[in-house]
Amino acid sequence: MNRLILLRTLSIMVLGILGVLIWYFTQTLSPQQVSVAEKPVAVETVESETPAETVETATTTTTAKQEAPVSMEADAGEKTEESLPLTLPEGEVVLEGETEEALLPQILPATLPETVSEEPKEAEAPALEISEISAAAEPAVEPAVEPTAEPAVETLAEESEVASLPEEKEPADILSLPETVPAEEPTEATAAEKPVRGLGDLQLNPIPLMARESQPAEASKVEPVEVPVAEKTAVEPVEEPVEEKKVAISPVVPQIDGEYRPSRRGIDPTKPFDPVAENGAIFEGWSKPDVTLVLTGRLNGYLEPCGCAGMERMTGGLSRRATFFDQLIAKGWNPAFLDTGGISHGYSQQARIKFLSATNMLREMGYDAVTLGDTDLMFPAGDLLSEVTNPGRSSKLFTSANVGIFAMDPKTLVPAKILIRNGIKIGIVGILGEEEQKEVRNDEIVFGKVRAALDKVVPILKEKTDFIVLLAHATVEEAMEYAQTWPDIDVIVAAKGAPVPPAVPEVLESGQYVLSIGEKGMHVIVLGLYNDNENPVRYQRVPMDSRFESSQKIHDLMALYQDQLAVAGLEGLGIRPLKNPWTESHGTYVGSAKCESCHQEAYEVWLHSRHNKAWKSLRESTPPRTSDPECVVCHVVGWNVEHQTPYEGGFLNMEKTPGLSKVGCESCHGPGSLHVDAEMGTDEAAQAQFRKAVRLTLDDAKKSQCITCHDLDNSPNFDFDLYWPVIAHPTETDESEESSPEP
Amino acid sequence: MKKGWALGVVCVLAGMLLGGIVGKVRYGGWTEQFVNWSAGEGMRRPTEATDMAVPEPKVRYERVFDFGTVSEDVRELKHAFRVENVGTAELKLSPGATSCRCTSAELPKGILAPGEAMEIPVVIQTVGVSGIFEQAATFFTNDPAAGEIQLNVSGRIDAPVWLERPELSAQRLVENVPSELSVNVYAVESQPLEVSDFRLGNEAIASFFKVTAEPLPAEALAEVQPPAGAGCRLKIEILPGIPMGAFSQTVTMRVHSQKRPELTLSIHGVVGDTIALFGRGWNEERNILTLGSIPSDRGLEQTYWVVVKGDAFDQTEIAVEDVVPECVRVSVGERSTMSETKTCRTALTISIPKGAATCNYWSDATKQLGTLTLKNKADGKSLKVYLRFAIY
Repeated sequence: MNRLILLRTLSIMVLGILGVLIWYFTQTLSPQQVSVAEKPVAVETVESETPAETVETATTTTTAKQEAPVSMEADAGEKTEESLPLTLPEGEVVLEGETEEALLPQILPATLPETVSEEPKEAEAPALEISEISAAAEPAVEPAVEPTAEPAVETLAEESEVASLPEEKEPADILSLPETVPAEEPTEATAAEKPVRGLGDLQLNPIPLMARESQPAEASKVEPVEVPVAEKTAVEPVEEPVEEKKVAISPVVPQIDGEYRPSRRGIDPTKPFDPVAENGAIFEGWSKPDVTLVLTGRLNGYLEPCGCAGMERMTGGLSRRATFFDQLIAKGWNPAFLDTGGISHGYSQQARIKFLSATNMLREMGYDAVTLGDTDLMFPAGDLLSEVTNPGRSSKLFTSANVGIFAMDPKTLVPAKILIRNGIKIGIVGILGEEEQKEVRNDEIVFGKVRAALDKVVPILKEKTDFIVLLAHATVEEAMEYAQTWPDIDVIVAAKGAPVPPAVPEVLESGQYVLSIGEKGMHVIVLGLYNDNENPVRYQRVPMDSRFESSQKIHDLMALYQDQLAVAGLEGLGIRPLKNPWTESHGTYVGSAKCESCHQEAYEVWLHSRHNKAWKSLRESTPPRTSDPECVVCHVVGWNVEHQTPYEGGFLNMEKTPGLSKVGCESCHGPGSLHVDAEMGTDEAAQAQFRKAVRLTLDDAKKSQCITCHDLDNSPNFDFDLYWPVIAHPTETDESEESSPEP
Repeated sequence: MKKGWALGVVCVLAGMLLGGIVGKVRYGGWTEQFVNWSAGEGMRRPTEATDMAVPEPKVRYERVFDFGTVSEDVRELKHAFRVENVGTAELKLSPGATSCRCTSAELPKGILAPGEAMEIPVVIQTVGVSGIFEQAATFFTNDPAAGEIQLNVSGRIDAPVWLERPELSAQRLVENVPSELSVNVYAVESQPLEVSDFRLGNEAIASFFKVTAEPLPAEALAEVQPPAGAGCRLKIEILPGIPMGAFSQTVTMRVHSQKRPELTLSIHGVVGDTIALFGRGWNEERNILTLGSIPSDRGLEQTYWVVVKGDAFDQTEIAVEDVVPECVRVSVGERSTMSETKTCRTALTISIPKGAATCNYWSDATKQLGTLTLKNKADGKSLKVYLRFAIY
């Protein structure tokens, strides 16, 4: 009897445990929607060996091509029946379980890298940083897949209402469904098209280096111009090696409560710079996310930091960003690379070339979606058209739900995209804020209302995806409004915000994230998505500092960009010397050598300073920057810093004006010909007049002169009181005691 | 026996119920009431019960201050941000960086006791600054939920006279077609604004620019933010004849204002043909379109755009006159027009069929390249495109 009771008790216990286990496993295996802060991320537990980079294609069939010309002004054609996708293009592979939508083949699996331990790190151990982990595997190799035809897109049954510009026009509406994007298909043709230095396959000026040297003498539209290119025949004067005088710089460090507390920006220049110690470790305590959103934007034309003041202390640059991206991919973090636009700055020809170079770099880095900012849309529409359509590739990089080039056309700018990472569908939609639309003065760009665009796209993405990201080229305030209006959007990334993104994200009551990404490409924001109800989303601000090495592929593209500038030359870039405002008061430039006879001590100081090596530093940088006006402006004599243009009589090139290379005396004191002439004469009044003209007081130098070039971007650690001792040379009071110059 | 089975079923059900309760608690959000969801505190924290067990510092601080619109006569702006320790342990702070050399922030003290507060003054130098500004000063703390805090300042520096925008893009101009740009100049004072003595910096193309100024009506001034007392509109007429290629011009004007006697406007643009091709691999200067190296078994299909600008834009009809070699197929696609900019855009598809014979048109000499000649039937203008490619 006792045995029976015991047996029954045990049976009951076993059955009870079984019941618990049955319930537990049914909960974890059932598919659920990903929702930030509410539900666990639904991820199939089947271990996959692929860094699954499948993307989904939503395709529709086109209506019959219209033979007659279509005006973009009035309502576009007949109404078509609104329909959800889709047809299956030939050759598409349908993943198991996904029968309604076509999905392209997955990327070939790569060996998984070493799994990051989830155990909390011990205090003594250094923070786990992605740059320190050696990738255990090769990056995913894309299969050689036959290029599929680009999916055609069907317009929805909406009247097209054209742009807010000009004012009398109705806002344009969204005309098509979001396009889901197939994975990159690196065909042989695509591989050949990849920009390689010297082969000239880029969209702009694809002239091989060899070709430039052997160009046939053809009639060209632009007359041959002299180009300040280092490769040209001019031989620079051989410089005798000059020993650089070393001056001790007294460190200035903050003191708090009598105790030394070094700033994490490493303002103590005497100590070696440690980027991790100064800018903080990243991904501390992170396990491998199920999906990683990598967010950037507002590059503002800063392809790279200047590097003049020590690259190791500077933050930013696409080269470091590319290395970081490669590391994320190698680690198998399933990243999706997204950008909020604002790639360019300015409207000059150089800005145009830089924009095209930057978009090539973004493609090379594997960006999945980029929206266009107000500065990007100021370029000629034809250039934008070339860039965003990018024929020959099946995946469109640029997306915007309320911007059209010449017209709202989903063939050129897709309204939205759907990415699939690790089985999770992420909807990406880009918009240009309405305040930013006002900044765009380009009649060939059409705009739509944000509300109309998102009202159409968001419900579709909500239905078809697990997670929605809005790339808003807008202010943080506008982004907040979008979050409140469309609560289904999980993450809103605002392009315009504080210069440095916050260390912690802004999370609304609804659980939505409103993020800003800083400026000048100095930081990358990483959101890790996890199947964890307690911590479903993790946030990390990643500074693009020297912990990330340079990327060779981006370096090569930078070299190509510099080549394009060299080929174009000043005239090709539309740069003509400006009238010198100091001609009347100072005369023309004479070169620092002219100053030596009277100012020997000051000349000696200059000779041993880095100002004397300014041109050399451009020439010896990799790649050389001697043809880049943005760099040349602060390394020579006689240029307008604000407009990055030479003055008449200022430096042009090493052939014509070798004496004006380097940062010379006249860079700070202005042109010196009238002063020199007066000193060679006997007119004391003239001598006094022009000595006064070239005088620069220490006070003026400190307040305004030096920082025209030693600005925060190019000389982040500049402090006049620290830097002046290095180049300190006799002031006017000292010089009055020197002997008079020989006639 | 029956009792045993019944008991077993009851136990299984009880077990499932127990499992359901456990699962709901873990996954169903019942823990939310115990979780601190304070915005801006980074990763979600464990239960408050756990939090209260160990003394911790907790920083509360003013994040943003907007100075509003400030006259440029003001050389320095200053605001004291309140920072408070609302935790139960000492709050330690150390200085970080500022986003601009114009911004400085001094930390009065490095340690705040629980309940203690202080003010951190953030100073921004506004000499030489104009327009909207936004800067930040960063400090580091030992608050586990807020290791870094950012004090943000913003505002707008108004000059007595300012350009609506200091830089204009003429975009793409077409030879023989004039163009006009406009930009407004505003002044704070309500006296009529006089702008004159326009000086063009690029003298080589100065003759192609005509600059005039006319007063702005009052209703136009009312829409300006910040409000302007007076203003005028500059019209810059760009005449045909600027050489092909990129150009830059500056317009320096005298303003009859004691505080700001001069303003400079920059203009950038490109002059090109009335008929132009856009797309990947196109070199406008040499009229070379690089198609790349093409595997014979794959072929090629790419779409380009032919853009025609000019008075007869709406009559544009692009036709393919000639293509060499024959393996290159070109088809003209959809056409669309835009009357505001007198632009017509036509899709052009260039394809090479699969199985095309190998050939080599990869050279730097245009004589050795393929050719494609397009013609606009409306005005008879043609565009000769050199095709650089190889089939292997």
